[in-house]
Amino acid sequence: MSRAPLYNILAAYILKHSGIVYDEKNFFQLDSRIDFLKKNLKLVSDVDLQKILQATPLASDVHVMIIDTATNNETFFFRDTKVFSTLEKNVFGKFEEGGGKIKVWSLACSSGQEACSIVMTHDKYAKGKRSDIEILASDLSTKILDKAIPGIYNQMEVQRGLPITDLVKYFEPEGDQLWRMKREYHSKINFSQFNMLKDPFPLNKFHLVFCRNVLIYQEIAQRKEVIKAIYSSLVPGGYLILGNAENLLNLSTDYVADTFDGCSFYRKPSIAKSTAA
Amino acid sequence: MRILVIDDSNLIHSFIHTSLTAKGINIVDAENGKEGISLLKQGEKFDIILLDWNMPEMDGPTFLEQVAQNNLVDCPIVMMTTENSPQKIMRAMSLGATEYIMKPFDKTILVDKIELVLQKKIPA
Repeated sequence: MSRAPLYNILAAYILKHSGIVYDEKNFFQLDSRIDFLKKNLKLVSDVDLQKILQATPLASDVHVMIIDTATNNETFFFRDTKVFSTLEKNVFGKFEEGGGKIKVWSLACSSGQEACSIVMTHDKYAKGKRSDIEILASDLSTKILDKAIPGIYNQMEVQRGLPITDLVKYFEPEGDQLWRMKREYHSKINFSQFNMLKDPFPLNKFHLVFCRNVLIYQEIAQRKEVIKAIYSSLVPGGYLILGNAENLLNLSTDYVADTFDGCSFYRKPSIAKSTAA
Repeated sequence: MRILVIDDSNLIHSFIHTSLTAKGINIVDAENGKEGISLLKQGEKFDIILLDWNMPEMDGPTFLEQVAQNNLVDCPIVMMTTENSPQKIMRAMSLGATEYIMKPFDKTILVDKIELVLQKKIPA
Protein backbone atom coordinates (compact mmCIF):
# COMPACT_ATOMS: atom_id res chain seq x y z
CA MET A 1 0.00 0.00 0.00
CA SER A 2 1.37 3.42 -0.94
CA ARG A 3 2.70 5.53 1.86
CA ALA A 4 1.97 8.70 -0.13
CA PRO A 5 -1.10 9.81 1.87
CA LEU A 6 0.82 9.49 5.14
CA TYR A 7 3.83 11.33 3.73
CA ASN A 8 1.61 14.19 2.62
CA ILE A 9 -0.17 14.45 5.94
CA LEU A 10 3.03 14.30 7.99
CA ALA A 11 4.94 16.70 5.71
CA ALA A 12 2.07 19.20 5.86
CA TYR A 13 1.96 18.96 9.66
CA ILE A 14 5.70 19.45 9.98
CA LEU A 15 5.62 22.41 7.60
CA LYS A 16 2.76 24.07 9.46
CA HIS A 17 4.24 23.65 12.93
CA SER A 18 7.99 23.87 12.39
CA GLY A 19 8.41 25.57 9.02
CA ILE A 20 10.53 22.73 7.65
CA VAL A 21 9.63 21.73 4.09
CA TYR A 22 9.84 18.21 2.69
CA ASP A 23 9.13 17.77 -1.01
CA GLU A 24 8.12 14.64 -2.88
CA LYS A 25 11.73 13.73 -3.62
CA ASN A 26 12.71 13.58 0.03
CA PHE A 27 9.53 12.12 1.45
CA PHE A 28 11.55 8.92 1.92
CA GLN A 29 13.46 10.82 4.63
CA LEU A 30 10.25 10.76 6.62
CA ASP A 31 10.37 6.94 6.80
CA SER A 32 12.57 6.91 9.90
CA ARG A 33 10.32 9.53 11.54
CA ILE A 34 7.24 7.45 10.70
CA ASP A 35 8.84 4.30 12.11
CA PHE A 36 9.82 6.20 15.27
CA LEU A 37 6.28 7.52 15.74
CA LYS A 38 4.69 4.11 15.16
CA LYS A 39 7.07 2.46 17.62
CA ASN A 40 6.56 5.07 20.34
CA LEU A 41 2.82 5.20 19.86
CA LYS A 42 2.69 1.39 19.71
CA LEU A 43 1.01 1.34 16.32
CA VAL A 44 1.13 -1.48 13.82
CA SER A 45 0.11 0.10 10.56
CA ASP A 46 0.58 3.33 8.63
CA VAL A 47 -3.20 3.68 8.56
CA ASP A 48 -3.30 3.79 12.37
CA LEU A 49 -0.72 6.59 12.37
CA GLN A 50 -2.60 8.40 9.63
CA LYS A 51 -5.76 8.39 11.74
CA ILE A 52 -3.91 9.81 14.72
CA LEU A 53 -2.32 12.54 12.62
CA GLN A 54 -5.70 13.50 11.22
CA ALA A 55 -7.22 13.89 14.70
CA THR A 56 -8.20 17.44 15.54
CA PRO A 57 -6.67 18.61 17.72
CA LEU A 58 -3.64 16.36 17.86
CA ALA A 59 -2.77 15.10 21.34
CA SER A 60 -0.04 17.33 22.75
CA ASP A 61 2.40 14.48 23.42
CA VAL A 62 2.07 13.34 19.81
CA HIS A 63 2.59 16.90 18.59
CA VAL A 64 5.78 17.22 20.67
CA MET A 65 7.00 13.86 19.38
CA ILE A 66 6.48 14.89 15.75
CA ILE A 67 8.18 18.25 16.12
CA ASP A 68 11.09 16.76 18.08
CA THR A 69 11.79 14.19 15.38
CA ALA A 70 11.64 16.88 12.73
CA THR A 71 13.68 19.62 14.38
CA ASN A 72 16.12 18.05 16.89
CA ASN A 73 16.82 21.38 18.70
CA GLU A 74 18.88 23.28 16.15
CA THR A 75 21.28 26.06 17.24
CA PHE A 76 23.78 28.11 15.33
CA PHE A 77 27.35 28.06 14.15
CA PHE A 78 29.14 31.39 13.87
CA ARG A 79 26.43 33.19 15.79
CA ASP A 80 27.26 36.92 15.43
CA THR A 81 29.69 36.51 12.55
CA LYS A 82 31.51 39.75 13.45
CA VAL A 83 32.85 38.13 16.64
CA PHE A 84 34.56 35.43 14.63
CA SER A 85 35.90 37.72 11.92
CA THR A 86 37.30 39.91 14.73
CA LEU A 87 38.99 36.90 16.29
CA GLU A 88 40.58 35.98 12.98
CA LYS A 89 41.65 39.44 11.88
CA ASN A 90 42.38 41.28 15.11
CA VAL A 91 42.61 39.10 18.17
CA PHE A 92 44.26 35.71 17.71
CA GLY A 93 47.46 37.39 16.54
CA LYS A 94 47.78 39.18 19.88
CA PHE A 95 48.52 35.92 21.67
CA GLU A 96 51.29 34.50 19.51
CA GLU A 97 54.24 35.94 21.43
CA GLY A 98 55.93 33.41 23.64
CA GLY A 99 54.58 30.42 21.75
CA GLY A 100 52.25 27.96 23.42
CA LYS A 101 48.62 27.29 22.65
CA ILE A 102 45.94 29.95 22.67
CA LYS A 103 43.67 28.93 25.52
CA VAL A 104 39.96 29.59 25.17
CA TRP A 105 36.99 28.89 27.44
CA SER A 106 33.51 28.55 26.01
CA LEU A 107 31.57 29.01 29.22
CA ALA A 108 27.98 27.72 28.89
CA CYS A 109 28.87 25.96 25.63
CA SER A 110 25.43 24.37 25.15
CA SER A 111 25.57 21.87 22.27
CA GLY A 112 29.04 22.95 21.24
CA GLN A 113 28.54 25.02 18.10
CA GLU A 114 30.37 28.01 19.62
CA ALA A 115 33.41 25.91 20.48
CA CYS A 116 33.39 24.35 17.00
CA SER A 117 33.12 27.81 15.44
CA ILE A 118 36.17 28.96 17.44
CA VAL A 119 38.16 25.93 16.20
CA MET A 120 37.22 26.64 12.58
CA THR A 121 38.04 30.34 12.91
CA HIS A 122 41.42 29.57 14.44
CA ASP A 123 42.18 27.11 11.63
CA LYS A 124 41.53 29.86 9.07
CA TYR A 125 43.69 32.27 11.08
CA ALA A 126 46.50 29.76 11.51
CA LYS A 127 47.06 29.05 7.78
CA GLY A 128 50.79 29.26 7.20
CA LYS A 129 51.47 30.11 10.84
CA ARG A 130 52.66 28.06 13.76
CA SER A 131 49.67 28.50 16.03
CA ASP A 132 47.63 26.09 18.08
CA ILE A 133 44.56 26.33 20.25
CA GLU A 134 42.90 24.43 23.04
CA ILE A 135 39.34 25.01 24.08
CA LEU A 136 37.56 24.20 27.30
CA ALA A 137 33.83 23.93 26.59
CA SER A 138 31.73 23.73 29.71
CA ASP A 139 28.08 23.72 30.62
CA LEU A 140 25.92 23.16 33.67
CA SER A 141 23.75 20.62 31.86
CA THR A 142 25.15 17.11 31.48
CA LYS A 143 22.33 16.38 29.03
CA ILE A 144 23.45 19.09 26.64
CA LEU A 145 27.10 18.08 27.12
CA ASP A 146 26.14 14.54 26.05
CA LYS A 147 24.96 16.10 22.81
CA ALA A 148 28.03 18.33 22.43
CA ILE A 149 30.76 15.78 23.17
CA PRO A 150 30.54 13.62 20.02
CA GLY A 151 30.51 16.70 17.76
CA ILE A 152 27.63 15.31 15.72
CA TYR A 153 25.00 17.64 14.28
CA ASN A 154 21.95 17.11 12.13
CA GLN A 155 21.42 18.47 8.66
CA MET A 156 19.36 21.43 9.85
CA GLU A 157 21.97 22.45 12.43
CA VAL A 158 24.90 22.36 9.99
CA GLN A 159 23.04 24.55 7.52
CA ARG A 160 22.57 27.41 9.92
CA GLY A 161 25.47 29.81 9.92
CA LEU A 162 27.89 27.41 8.26
CA PRO A 163 29.03 28.12 4.69
CA ILE A 164 29.00 24.95 2.60
CA THR A 165 32.77 25.13 2.08
CA ASP A 166 33.26 25.02 5.87
CA LEU A 167 30.87 22.09 6.18
CA VAL A 168 32.80 20.05 3.64
CA LYS A 169 36.21 21.04 5.05
CA TYR A 170 35.54 20.55 8.75
CA PHE A 171 32.81 17.90 8.89
CA GLU A 172 32.15 14.47 7.45
CA PRO A 173 28.85 12.60 6.97
CA GLU A 174 27.84 10.33 9.83
CA GLY A 175 24.81 8.24 8.94
CA ASP A 176 21.37 9.50 8.02
CA GLN A 177 21.56 13.28 7.54
CA LEU A 178 24.12 13.67 10.33
CA TRP A 179 27.50 15.36 10.20
CA ARG A 180 30.43 14.93 12.58
CA MET A 181 33.24 17.45 13.05
CA LYS A 182 36.47 15.82 11.90
CA ARG A 183 38.57 14.49 14.74
CA GLU A 184 41.65 16.56 13.90
CA TYR A 185 39.58 19.67 14.67
CA HIS A 186 37.15 18.45 17.32
CA SER A 187 39.97 17.01 19.44
CA LYS A 188 41.01 20.58 20.26
CA ILE A 189 37.90 20.87 22.43
CA ASN A 190 37.65 19.38 25.93
CA PHE A 191 34.18 19.23 27.42
CA SER A 192 33.43 19.48 31.10
CA GLN A 193 30.53 20.16 33.39
CA PHE A 194 30.82 23.48 35.24
CA ASN A 195 28.51 25.47 37.47
CA MET A 196 29.56 29.11 37.09
CA LEU A 197 27.70 30.06 40.27
CA LYS A 198 29.26 27.42 42.47
CA ASP A 199 32.46 25.93 41.03
CA PRO A 200 35.88 27.60 41.47
CA PHE A 201 37.21 29.37 38.39
CA PRO A 202 40.73 28.49 37.21
CA LEU A 203 43.09 31.39 37.84
CA ASN A 204 45.08 33.32 35.27
CA LYS A 205 44.67 30.74 32.54
CA PHE A 206 42.70 31.82 29.48
CA HIS A 207 43.42 34.20 26.61
CA LEU A 208 39.72 34.29 25.72
CA VAL A 209 36.57 33.56 27.68
CA PHE A 210 33.25 33.40 25.81
CA CYS A 211 30.25 34.02 28.02
CA ARG A 212 27.57 34.94 25.52
CA ASN A 213 23.84 35.32 26.07
CA VAL A 214 23.96 33.59 29.45
CA LEU A 215 24.34 36.31 32.06
CA ILE A 216 21.11 37.96 30.92
CA TYR A 217 19.25 35.14 32.66
CA GLN A 218 20.90 35.89 36.02
CA GLU A 219 20.30 38.50 38.66
CA ILE A 220 22.62 41.51 38.76
CA ALA A 221 24.54 40.37 41.84
CA GLN A 222 25.26 36.99 40.26
CA ARG A 223 26.28 38.60 36.98
CA LYS A 224 28.81 40.77 38.82
CA GLU A 225 30.25 37.73 40.60
CA VAL A 226 30.66 35.75 37.39
CA ILE A 227 32.24 38.66 35.54
CA LYS A 228 34.66 39.16 38.43
CA ALA A 229 35.49 35.44 38.47
CA ILE A 230 36.10 35.45 34.71
CA TYR A 231 38.50 38.38 35.21
CA SER A 232 40.58 36.22 37.54
CA SER A 233 40.56 33.41 34.95
CA LEU A 234 41.92 35.59 32.18
CA VAL A 235 45.62 36.15 31.62
CA PRO A 236 46.65 39.83 31.48
CA GLY A 237 45.69 41.08 28.02
CA GLY A 238 43.04 38.37 27.68
CA TYR A 239 39.48 39.06 26.56
CA LEU A 240 35.96 38.42 27.80
CA ILE A 241 33.50 38.13 24.90
CA LEU A 242 29.82 38.76 25.63
CA GLY A 243 26.69 38.45 23.50
CA ASN A 244 25.86 41.03 20.88
CA ALA A 245 23.35 42.88 23.03
CA GLU A 246 25.31 42.63 26.27
CA ASN A 247 27.80 44.97 27.91
CA LEU A 248 29.50 45.57 31.25
CA LEU A 249 27.70 48.79 32.13
CA ASN A 250 27.07 48.85 35.89
CA LEU A 251 28.59 45.37 36.19
CA SER A 252 32.36 45.94 36.20
CA THR A 253 34.92 48.68 35.80
CA ASP A 254 37.88 46.28 35.76
CA TYR A 255 37.89 45.66 32.02
CA VAL A 256 38.86 47.89 29.11
CA ALA A 257 36.57 47.75 26.07
CA ASP A 258 38.46 47.30 22.79
CA THR A 259 36.22 47.85 19.75
CA PHE A 260 36.97 46.21 16.41
CA ASP A 261 34.67 47.22 13.54
CA GLY A 262 31.80 47.83 15.95
CA CYS A 263 32.44 44.63 17.92
CA SER A 264 33.44 45.04 21.60
CA PHE A 265 35.80 42.67 23.36
CA TYR A 266 36.51 43.32 27.06
CA ARG A 267 40.19 43.16 27.94
CA LYS A 268 41.85 42.44 31.25
CA PRO A 269 44.53 45.13 31.29
CA SER A 270 48.14 43.97 31.30
CA ILE A 271 48.71 46.18 34.31
CA ALA A 272 45.86 45.84 36.83
CA LYS A 273 43.55 48.85 36.89
CA SER A 274 43.06 50.51 40.19
CA THR A 275 39.44 50.07 41.25
CA ALA A 276 39.64 52.55 44.08
CA ALA A 277 36.99 55.24 43.80
CA MET B 1 15.38 41.64 -5.77
CA ARG B 2 14.66 38.94 -8.40
CA ILE B 3 15.13 35.25 -7.71
CA LEU B 4 14.87 32.43 -10.24
CA VAL B 5 13.74 29.14 -8.71
CA ILE B 6 14.45 26.07 -10.84
CA ASP B 7 12.82 22.96 -9.37
CA ASP B 8 10.32 20.35 -10.58
CA SER B 9 8.51 20.31 -7.22
CA ASN B 10 5.40 22.45 -6.81
CA LEU B 11 5.83 22.14 -3.04
CA ILE B 12 9.21 23.83 -3.22
CA HIS B 13 7.94 26.64 -5.44
CA SER B 14 4.99 27.21 -3.16
CA PHE B 15 7.18 27.16 -0.04
CA ILE B 16 9.66 29.66 -1.48
CA HIS B 17 6.89 32.00 -2.58
CA THR B 18 5.33 31.84 0.86
CA SER B 19 8.70 32.39 2.54
CA LEU B 20 9.98 35.25 0.44
CA THR B 21 7.25 37.11 -1.44
CA ALA B 22 6.18 39.04 1.66
CA LYS B 23 9.70 40.48 1.77
CA GLY B 24 9.13 42.28 -1.53
CA ILE B 25 11.14 39.76 -3.53
CA ASN B 26 10.11 38.99 -7.11
CA ILE B 27 10.23 35.24 -7.75
CA VAL B 28 10.32 33.65 -11.19
CA ASP B 29 9.64 29.92 -11.50
CA ALA B 30 11.06 27.31 -13.85
CA GLU B 31 10.32 23.60 -13.73
CA ASN B 32 13.65 22.35 -14.99
CA GLY B 33 17.06 23.40 -16.21
CA LYS B 34 15.91 23.70 -19.82
CA GLU B 35 13.29 26.29 -18.89
CA GLY B 36 15.88 28.10 -16.80
CA ILE B 37 18.34 28.27 -19.70
CA SER B 38 15.57 29.53 -21.96
CA LEU B 39 14.78 32.39 -19.56
CA LEU B 40 18.44 33.35 -19.32
CA LYS B 41 18.89 33.29 -23.10
CA GLN B 42 15.94 35.65 -23.39
CA GLY B 43 18.00 38.12 -21.39
CA GLU B 44 16.25 37.77 -18.04
CA LYS B 45 18.42 38.97 -15.17
CA PHE B 46 18.35 37.72 -11.60
CA ASP B 47 20.06 38.50 -8.31
CA ILE B 48 20.24 34.83 -7.34
CA ILE B 49 19.27 31.45 -8.78
CA LEU B 50 18.03 28.57 -6.62
CA LEU B 51 18.63 25.31 -8.46
CA ASP B 52 17.46 21.74 -7.86
CA TRP B 53 19.66 18.79 -8.84
CA ASN B 54 17.38 16.03 -10.14
CA MET B 55 14.91 17.32 -12.72
CA PRO B 56 13.50 16.01 -16.00
CA GLU B 57 14.62 17.55 -19.34
CA MET B 58 17.76 19.09 -17.84
CA ASP B 59 19.20 18.47 -14.39
CA GLY B 60 21.07 20.89 -12.14
CA PRO B 61 24.66 19.95 -13.05
CA THR B 62 23.86 20.18 -16.77
CA PHE B 63 22.29 23.60 -16.20
CA LEU B 64 25.47 24.72 -14.43
CA GLU B 65 27.62 23.46 -17.31
CA GLN B 66 25.48 25.27 -19.89
CA VAL B 67 25.53 28.48 -17.86
CA ALA B 68 29.33 28.34 -17.61
CA GLN B 69 29.89 27.43 -21.26
CA ASN B 70 27.65 30.23 -22.51
CA ASN B 71 28.49 32.79 -19.83
CA LEU B 72 24.80 33.22 -19.11
CA VAL B 73 24.81 34.59 -15.54
CA ASP B 74 26.78 36.85 -13.28
CA CYS B 75 24.77 36.13 -10.14
CA PRO B 76 25.23 33.49 -7.44
CA ILE B 77 23.68 30.05 -7.97
CA VAL B 78 22.59 28.11 -4.89
CA MET B 79 21.94 24.38 -5.22
CA MET B 80 18.82 23.20 -3.39
CA THR B 81 18.77 19.41 -3.32
CA THR B 82 18.44 16.15 -1.45
CA GLU B 83 21.93 15.20 -2.67
CA ASN B 84 24.00 15.60 0.50
CA SER B 85 27.28 13.75 0.01
CA PRO B 86 30.54 15.73 0.10
CA GLN B 87 31.29 14.40 -3.39
CA LYS B 88 28.05 15.81 -4.82
CA ILE B 89 28.58 19.08 -2.98
CA MET B 90 32.11 19.43 -4.35
CA ARG B 91 30.89 18.58 -7.84
CA ALA B 92 28.26 21.30 -7.74
CA MET B 93 30.78 23.84 -6.43
CA SER B 94 33.29 22.87 -9.13
CA LEU B 95 30.60 23.41 -11.78
CA GLY B 96 29.94 26.92 -10.51
CA ALA B 97 27.47 26.74 -7.63
CA THR B 98 28.16 29.37 -4.99
CA GLU B 99 26.33 27.78 -2.06
CA TYR B 100 24.32 24.72 -1.27
CA ILE B 101 21.07 23.98 0.57
CA MET B 102 20.34 20.39 1.52
CA LYS B 103 16.70 19.32 1.59
CA PRO B 104 14.79 19.29 3.87
CA PHE B 105 15.31 22.88 4.92
CA ASP B 106 13.28 25.66 6.50
CA LYS B 107 12.75 29.35 5.91
CA THR B 108 15.58 30.32 8.27
CA ILE B 109 18.08 28.27 6.29
CA LEU B 110 16.72 29.62 3.01
CA VAL B 111 17.03 33.24 4.14
CA ASP B 112 20.41 32.63 5.81
CA LYS B 113 21.90 31.17 2.63
CA ILE B 114 20.51 33.94 0.42
CA GLU B 115 21.89 36.58 2.78
CA LEU B 116 25.22 34.73 2.90
CA VAL B 117 25.71 34.77 -0.88
CA LEU B 118 24.36 38.27 -1.38
CA GLN B 119 26.23 39.61 1.68
CA LYS B 120 23.23 41.66 2.70
CA LYS B 121 20.15 41.30 4.85
CA ILE B 122 16.77 40.55 3.31
CA PRO B 123 14.10 42.94 4.70
CA ALA B 124 12.11 41.26 7.45
